[in-house]
Amino acid sequence: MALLQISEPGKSTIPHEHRRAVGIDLGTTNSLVATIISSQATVVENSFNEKIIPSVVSYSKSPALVGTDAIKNQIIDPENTVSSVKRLVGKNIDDINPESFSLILKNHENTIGIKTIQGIKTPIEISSEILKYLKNIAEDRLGGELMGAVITVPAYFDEAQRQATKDAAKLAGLNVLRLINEPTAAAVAYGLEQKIEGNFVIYDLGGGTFDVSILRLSEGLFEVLSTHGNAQLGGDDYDQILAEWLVNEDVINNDPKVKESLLKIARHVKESLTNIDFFHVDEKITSTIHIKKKINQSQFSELTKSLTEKTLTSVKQALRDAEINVEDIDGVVMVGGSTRMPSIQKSVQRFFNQSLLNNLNPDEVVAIGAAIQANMLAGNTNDDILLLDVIPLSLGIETIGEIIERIIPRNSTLPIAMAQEFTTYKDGQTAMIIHVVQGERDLVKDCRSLGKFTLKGIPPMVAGAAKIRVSFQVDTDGLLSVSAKELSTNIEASIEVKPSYGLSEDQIALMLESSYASAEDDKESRALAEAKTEATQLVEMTKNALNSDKSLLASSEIKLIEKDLSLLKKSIKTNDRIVIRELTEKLNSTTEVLASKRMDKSIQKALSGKTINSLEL
Amino acid sequence: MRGELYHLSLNYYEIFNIPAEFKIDLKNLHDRYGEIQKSIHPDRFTAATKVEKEQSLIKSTEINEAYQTLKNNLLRAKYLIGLHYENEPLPLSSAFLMQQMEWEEELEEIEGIEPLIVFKENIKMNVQTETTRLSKLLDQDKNWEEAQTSLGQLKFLTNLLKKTTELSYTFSDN
Repeated sequence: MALLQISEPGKSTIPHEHRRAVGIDLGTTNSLVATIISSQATVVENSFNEKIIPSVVSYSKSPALVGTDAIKNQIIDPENTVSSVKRLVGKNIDDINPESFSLILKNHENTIGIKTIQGIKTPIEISSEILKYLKNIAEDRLGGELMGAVITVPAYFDEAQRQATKDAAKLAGLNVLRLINEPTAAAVAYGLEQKIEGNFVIYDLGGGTFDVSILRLSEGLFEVLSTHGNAQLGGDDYDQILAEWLVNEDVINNDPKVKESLLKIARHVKESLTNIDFFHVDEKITSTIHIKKKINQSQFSELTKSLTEKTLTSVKQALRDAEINVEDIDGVVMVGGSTRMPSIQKSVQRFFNQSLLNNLNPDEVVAIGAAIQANMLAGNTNDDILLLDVIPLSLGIETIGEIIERIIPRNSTLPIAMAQEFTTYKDGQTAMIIHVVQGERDLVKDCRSLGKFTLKGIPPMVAGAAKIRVSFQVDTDGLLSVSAKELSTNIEASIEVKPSYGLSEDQIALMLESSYASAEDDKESRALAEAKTEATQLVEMTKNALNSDKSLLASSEIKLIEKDLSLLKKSIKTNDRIVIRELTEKLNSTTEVLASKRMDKSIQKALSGKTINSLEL
Repeated sequence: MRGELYHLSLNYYEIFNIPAEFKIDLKNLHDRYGEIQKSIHPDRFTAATKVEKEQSLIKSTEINEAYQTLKNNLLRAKYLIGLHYENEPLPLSSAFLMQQMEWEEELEEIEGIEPLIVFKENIKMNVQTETTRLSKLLDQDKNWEEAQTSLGQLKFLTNLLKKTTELSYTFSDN
């Protein structure tokens, strides 16, 4: 498998079963799961023929209810029913305004806890219920276990929110093939349907967030050039402004019930104005409030102009970051239910001076794109397509005076690694706290704190003499690991940045274990089976790799691999899990040379068709 | 020994198999970058062994770094000089430092968008002239020491142009 992937990327000639892979749009209000069925990307329906699953979880019963069933409980049992949990994912209590949430929130092990009759639930656990539900309907439809999933996140999600989403997926028993940005997923859906090339803007206005991405599509390469957004701006804000216009502000703020019915009316007016030009409101809300007002599209557009302007400010910033002019844009893709508003369509059309790409269902396009990407990552297609994404927010560390030194600038193509050297501040300083932050502002307090760790054991030197190299590595999911090293002594410290806000691997394992609630024997036999499968795969792959690329190695290197290979092969026949694991690790490390050289070979091969072109400037 | 495994033994130009010159065909570089990433990106190794996944991540990261370096005029010039010459750059001439201060003062006093555009065009022209000079120093004269000085000036000019451009955004946004 791996052998052929190296020599011919994406093309596997070994016949294999179609791997079941899905794309999941895990939304604030609604979630969808899509997959490829008879080479067509399709949104999967649940047993009630619903495609759009409300992102609502109710803990009234055990197991928890999700979707329409949970919504029913919103009225009967609001204390145990959670909606819009996406707004809380990857945050701690200081990041949010608890008053804007009706449920009881508390600080819970560095994250937020919500009190339910089934105990305190974290946003990760609640999200995982939604993901489990989607996983189940997909497995029912596809008739078997999923190999993996691509899950979409807003482009503007920070490190903590991405990590939390991934944790939720793991907790739901999903193998995460990749987290991809929502606008990127939309672009994949359009790019593949229409095989377009050029520079594209993805304008994504949802219920609560706005994202914009600039992408370049060329010869199967999808490159995100820049991304920008506003996590505090969405269709809901349009409702709010309209509601305020319908009555005066005091009325809205004084009574939550009145506010709710007003927002409902506003929403209805907004949606009606997508199809008709004129709407007459005639609604009695309480005995004293009776609204009689007329509004047309252009009035609505004028009323909400400042919101639409804000989205265009983000668009301008994204264009500047991409170093691209409006005239160089070849297409504008509209995503998110809120882009149905005619006023938005008009403004965006005017800004780019061209007609918009909006022929795919804006509610489904993200899930569809994710499904296409999942299918590619699972190795089910022969398409020669690659998606290169960027990191949305800069990463850095805190230095003296609470000022941030940026290490990885935003919009860097992933994967990326960068390092910077720092020094000690005081004579004889033997430890250094490394505080990792994310954001564009210069001061720590204006950015997101991702975690702190301490590098200890620096030999006492005069201030400024130590050389401490801090390295950041961000993988293709946009997840970060940091390490620090004192160069003269080689003292090293590193963290996976997560424990300060997410779950540790151990915590996830523990939660998964308890959900299996299986006997000790079961656990052991499952672990043994897993170890055997992994060892067998490694043996097969190594044999294949050795067969085709023996010539890359020295005979001593070949001998070493062959020795470890036969040891591992023999060990599989025994039932000693620990030995199998050890020998698997051993073979893994002896094949490093081979893997590295094969990688170099495929780089050369990729260029083999190209000759040195004559240069023009 | 182990460390070596993690790095391509090739320099950035060799990775893309293009001549080690300042003048570069960006379209060609981009095509090659795309071809290489398509063959080694972690997305191609979702079903591979742990070691292959790791190696793919390392190589893909390096290719990104190589591409970002060669794509950018300043980074490319610095890298190219570094391949040939190891001395620290000489300080910029006092004439250029004087000129620097004059430009900075001029920019500080600009209030309207029109004089700003004039100023920006002037800096742009200076960037072009300096780039041409640097290109000749690197590709024809192979005068690394002088090229280093030219690069120092170009860095300043590029930053000034960036500052000017940002200011023009602030002016036009308001």
